[in-house]
Amino acid sequence: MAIGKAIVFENRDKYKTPIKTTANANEEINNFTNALPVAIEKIEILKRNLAINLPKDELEIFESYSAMVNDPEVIEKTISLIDNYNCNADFAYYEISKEFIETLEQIDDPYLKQRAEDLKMISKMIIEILQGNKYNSQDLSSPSIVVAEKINTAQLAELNQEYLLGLITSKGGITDHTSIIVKALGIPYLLEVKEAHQKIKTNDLLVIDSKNNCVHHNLNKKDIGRFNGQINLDQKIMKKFMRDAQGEAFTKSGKTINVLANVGSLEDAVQALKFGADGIGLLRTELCFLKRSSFPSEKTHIDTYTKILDKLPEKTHTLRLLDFGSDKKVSYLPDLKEDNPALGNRALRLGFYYYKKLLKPQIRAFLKLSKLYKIKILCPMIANNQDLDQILNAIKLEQKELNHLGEEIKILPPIGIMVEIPNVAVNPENFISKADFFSFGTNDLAQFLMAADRTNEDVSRYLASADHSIIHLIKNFAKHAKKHKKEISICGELASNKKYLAQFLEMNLDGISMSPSLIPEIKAEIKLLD
Amino acid sequence: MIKTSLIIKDKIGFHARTAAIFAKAASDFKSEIFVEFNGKRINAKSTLSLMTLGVKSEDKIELFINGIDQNSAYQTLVDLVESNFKN
Repeated sequence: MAIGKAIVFENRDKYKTPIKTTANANEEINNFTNALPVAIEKIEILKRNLAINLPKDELEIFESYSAMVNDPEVIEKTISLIDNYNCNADFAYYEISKEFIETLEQIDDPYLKQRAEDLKMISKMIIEILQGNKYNSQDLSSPSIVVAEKINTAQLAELNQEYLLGLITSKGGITDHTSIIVKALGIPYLLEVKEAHQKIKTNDLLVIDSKNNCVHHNLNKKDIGRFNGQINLDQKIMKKFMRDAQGEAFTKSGKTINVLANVGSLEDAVQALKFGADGIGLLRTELCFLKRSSFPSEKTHIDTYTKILDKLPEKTHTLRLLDFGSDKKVSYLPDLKEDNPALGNRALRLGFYYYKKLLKPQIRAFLKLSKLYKIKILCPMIANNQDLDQILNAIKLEQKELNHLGEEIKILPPIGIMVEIPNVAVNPENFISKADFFSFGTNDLAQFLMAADRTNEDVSRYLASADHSIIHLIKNFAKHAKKHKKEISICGELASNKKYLAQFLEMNLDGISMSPSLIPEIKAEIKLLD
Repeated sequence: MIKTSLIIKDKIGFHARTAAIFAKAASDFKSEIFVEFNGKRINAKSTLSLMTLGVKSEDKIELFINGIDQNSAYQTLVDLVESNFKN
């Protein structure tokens, strides 16, 4: 939700490129080729403006913009048009880029249709450079809600992010880059609000109500008071939640559960600290090494985790062994081309396949870190007792080898199972005595229980209906775990579902692990329970 | 001149990212490189031209390479498509 003054942006897609004849075609060609690096530089600046607030993946958009500017076909055709007709560069470039825009718009594919919008933006940028127009950028000088017929990434990137309260557009779909970027920036926005840019005037007071997906307009004093109250309340509640989240959360009767963070990067660990995590409940180590081109060495492992653990050095953290394969592929491992990668050669199965390069350095790093930090080792994708024996033996062997080298690792850290394969989830008796702790990975467990691929949008609707069975399995598992005095926790979507919070407490679970930003609200909820 | 057929396995087909990767790889070679799809033949070094083909997942494209470095160009581009655009 956001309240603020509107600023209505003009549609900047309109411009004129009248044809002019020139005596010196070469000069026009020079103007054109000189404009291209200027455009590339501009794109770089826009990219830098957004880099602070956007995840790296989203910045890839700018790579394709540069490719569009430097497209050899467009360049060659523009030059030959100038040459053949002795015409001005802006006219020639407009005509050629228009051909490509029109072809893209005709393709029966919503994704490629959206790329026509990207090319329009690039085309406009280059024409503005050629026409020597002072780039009439529209920026914000005070906190505002931007209203436009549509807005492109370049316009969005130019804006002073501090003053951008929200965004409303009359057009624009979910696959366009603008919506991807506003989503990532985390500001309230509404797209495809019909005629918004005509009905709303600059300086109108607006409310973007993201909860009800609507814009409140023509507000009277009473409305303003009400919405301001609501926003202040939302912010106050969040602030209070965050303040209260530091420290353990107890129910009214004094029960508690660790509210932990799922972490996959240093940034996540910073968030975990800010939002009051009681520790890292799941460090998805493979996420730290997705962008590399070679296997991480033992030193790389140690350095990476040290930075993360140092954010919350006093807490106890659960580090999961690498879970590559399935939907997390990297360049230093061959593409296995499996028909069912989620059920294939992944996690420890892959780890033992490349033991020396993949698993060994990580196990050694974990063992060395266990002397300095309170850590627990979580083993993913354990299907049977052989799997468990294999990894336990490997860890013991590495301990022995390290001790031979003088490391003095006297006590092994707790070693636990990620309960995500149904064969383990339904048979706690078979595993309970061998592992030190258990963590339910509900995302994979749900897809295995429902036989529904969680990466396939056509069937992922099935996953939600696994909740009931999973709760049942956790309850049963917890009973056994508690009898043997073993710790049991949950990571995965289900852990942050408030609906089940009271049940989790009743089962005496030791922890629930979730995305850091959800922690304050969950802790607040715990305090309301009996 | 080398001619070959390739199947584009990427989930979306030739979209901005894959087209840019393919065109960039093609641009590293001196040879003339063309892609033919649906009766349309375009310059494989042009990201935009590749995108305008509207190649979807599992579509088959024809690749034509002609020039002094055609053999290494062929190997590079085939590897790129087979590795599903890992670069």
